[in-house]
Amino acid sequence: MIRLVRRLLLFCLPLLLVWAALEYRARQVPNSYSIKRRQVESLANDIDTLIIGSSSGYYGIVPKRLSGVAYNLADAGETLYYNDALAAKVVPMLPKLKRVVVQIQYISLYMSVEDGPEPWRMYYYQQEWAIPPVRLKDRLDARVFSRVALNGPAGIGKSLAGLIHSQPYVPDPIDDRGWWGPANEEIDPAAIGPAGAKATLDRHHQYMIPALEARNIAYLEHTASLLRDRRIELVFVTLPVWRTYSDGMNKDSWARTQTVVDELCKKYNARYLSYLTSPNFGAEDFKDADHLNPQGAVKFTELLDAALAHPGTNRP
Amino acid sequence: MTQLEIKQKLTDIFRNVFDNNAIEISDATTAADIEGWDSLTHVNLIVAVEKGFHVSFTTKEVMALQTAGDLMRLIASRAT
Amino acid sequence: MSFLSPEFAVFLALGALAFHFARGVCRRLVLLLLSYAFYLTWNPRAALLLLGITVAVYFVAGALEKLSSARKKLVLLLLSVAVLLLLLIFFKCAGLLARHYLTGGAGNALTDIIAPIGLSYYLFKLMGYLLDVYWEKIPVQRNFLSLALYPSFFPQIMSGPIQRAGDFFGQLAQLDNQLPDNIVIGLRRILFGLFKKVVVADHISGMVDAVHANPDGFSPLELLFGAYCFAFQIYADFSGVTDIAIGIGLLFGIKGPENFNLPFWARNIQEFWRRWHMSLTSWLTDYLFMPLRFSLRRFGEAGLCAAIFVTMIAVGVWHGPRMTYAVFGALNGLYMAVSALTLKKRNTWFQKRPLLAHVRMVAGPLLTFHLMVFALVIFRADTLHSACQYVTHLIPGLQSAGISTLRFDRGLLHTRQIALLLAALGFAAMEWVNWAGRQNTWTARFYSVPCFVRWAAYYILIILIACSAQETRTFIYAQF
Repeated sequence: MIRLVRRLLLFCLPLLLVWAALEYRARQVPNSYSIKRRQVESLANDIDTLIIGSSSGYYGIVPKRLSGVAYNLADAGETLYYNDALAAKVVPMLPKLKRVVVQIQYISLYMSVEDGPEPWRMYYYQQEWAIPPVRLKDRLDARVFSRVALNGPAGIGKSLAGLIHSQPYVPDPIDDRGWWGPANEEIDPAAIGPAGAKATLDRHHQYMIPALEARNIAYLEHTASLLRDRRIELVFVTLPVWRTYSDGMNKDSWARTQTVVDELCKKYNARYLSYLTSPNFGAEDFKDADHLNPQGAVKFTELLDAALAHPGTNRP
Repeated sequence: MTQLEIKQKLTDIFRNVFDNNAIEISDATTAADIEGWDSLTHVNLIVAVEKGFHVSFTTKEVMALQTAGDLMRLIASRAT
Repeated sequence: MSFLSPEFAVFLALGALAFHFARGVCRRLVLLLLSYAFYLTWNPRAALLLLGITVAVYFVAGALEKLSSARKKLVLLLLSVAVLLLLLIFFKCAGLLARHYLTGGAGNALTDIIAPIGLSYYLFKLMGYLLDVYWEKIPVQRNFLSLALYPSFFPQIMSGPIQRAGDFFGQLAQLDNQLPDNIVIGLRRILFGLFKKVVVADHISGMVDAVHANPDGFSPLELLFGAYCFAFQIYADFSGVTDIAIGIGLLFGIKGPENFNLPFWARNIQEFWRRWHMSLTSWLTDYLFMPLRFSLRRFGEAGLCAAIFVTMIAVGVWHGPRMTYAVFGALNGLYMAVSALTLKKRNTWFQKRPLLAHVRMVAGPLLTFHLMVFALVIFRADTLHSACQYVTHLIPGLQSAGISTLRFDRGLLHTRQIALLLAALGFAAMEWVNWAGRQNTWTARFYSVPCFVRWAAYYILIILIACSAQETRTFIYAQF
């Protein structure tokens, strides 16, 4: 029996070595989370404005167009749980931090990553930021520690091939302040039109869960109180969406979200700048029904910068 | 009927049902030992045995049969 | 927890470790805990159902033994088997009933009922146990721990094989006399099963899905290819999962029954069903066909045909309450009745023509294979309507307008040349191993080869499996 166990271990040894090599290589490949963590750490001493949010903010706010030293920590598919957890981790790292911009959108109060369309993002937050998944059963998953498992079996073949000869790495178009904005993005006009907006709305409605509201409000409160304790200004922001999207939004859910944010502003002395249906933006500023393209992002950031500079501005 | 007579008669029945005059059965013979003896032909065998020995079996008795020996014992218990 | 997840591998490793350090009763306890823990990861409430049914069967079996009146025994048996059968039918059909016949509150409540995992497998095991006790083929299992293990044994609960009670309890009694060799044999089988599933079956599935989703859009050649491929896919998938189940069982000292014995080499339909999904067909043969055929023996050939039809339709609808499964069963019933009734005459006819008899040795399996490929098209189809579409479009000239008879468009078939090649080679290798594994000469050679050669073969298999694994697809037979 002992002999058998020894032989099994011996058999597994080469497999473990190959797996270790694959893990090492997999971790060399950057992703938005690893890139942002490194950027935040290297700019920690200078950042005075931090932007937190989801893909709207990730694509739509250009830190270099804001006064001072801003950093865009937002990422695609991020939810309020992760907004809060990241704030808790990152804010203490930034000695010069004066202001945090939290991006709120139509789906914010009703989404979670684990019940959403891309639950695998939980494991990137775990691996890069040590933020654990909410549910216990999600924490008992190989992807908590294994990058190979996270990349999925489809990645193994490629990785094995890569061990033999390196594949060229195509970097993500993230600038050095965390903004995602490719130089020449091909925009599909159908994505902005009614059909594209409907597809997006259907997908959003599919994943919105009303029962998550209370939890998400708690996360917002936690962030707000953290910032208030540190006397850091909190500004909620809603980015523009194209009318094909706003026409299809559920008015009650959105009204509820706005009420929640307004109450938080009163309680924590924060501001809410909502540009949801701002007339300053035309179809040429969007890349799809609810995301600005780089041109629109620049325009938006300049408007935002002006509003931020006037402390009294609320709900322009 | 004696044991030997039962075995002799049963062997004839086997040879008839499975079309093979070379079949010899023993106590331990099972379906695996005889070509053509499967679930589809098993009942043909039982029917032939019932006719040949003028007996009638219950489902329960037939389901409990595992070997030719079991069959011979079953026939013996009936033929008395 | 799917068999194919890394979590399961960890679960298995830890479980095997705990099992091998335990002794006596503790070993069975460890197995029971592992089995229920595994089941709980799928559905906690269904685990309660399983436990409840096990307790009920325990008491019924005890009563069957103690009752003296033959009539009371029969009544109790029929009642308990009927209840188990009704449970099976209820869970399988609840969703269907709700969607098609019931509206309103009752309907909504029913639509959400999905059959608990493994229901078909464990209910059949327990029904067989009760029947075996009634027919006095096996003694009553007095040890509740052992009885509880029988339906819940986790390697077999998802997709079988359906092991008989006598066989299982016999092996359970030998649990302490475990050979370390069993572990190696078990691991080898798991590896082989994974290879069949991931390298062979999964590479074909995309194409089979494509042709069945839209039979209108394909040429007769493509549809024919799809039909052959489904036969290979379901064979590789199901024999793969059986290998994994048997392999895992071996890690714990229990060898499950085989499900496949080179079925595509069968010389006629009866032989095919003795070689395909053997644990199910032998179960239905022993517990449905035989008693039925015996009760109908006065009706001669008509009785035989009736018994065959009922049994084969049962094989079909065991898979689910769908017309395609029922038609699949009925078609096989037809095949088998015709073959059974004419076998003797065919044998005599060929005996007189030795040259043709040689041709028969090749033609027989080929014909049987094609009959099954046809039946499997109906099995796989989403609806009876699409099955009919598929079959009609197979005929050259009857395909949709604009599609040439011999068109073979790999793009439309969602398949890459390398995937097909890998699957084809994998299938050939798999059948060769299936065959060679039964030849003493080849097994002797396998063991006499130096250890590192065998290890190299295992490493190659592992690499092939790792590279071929796409998003984990569930096993076809886990849904039944």
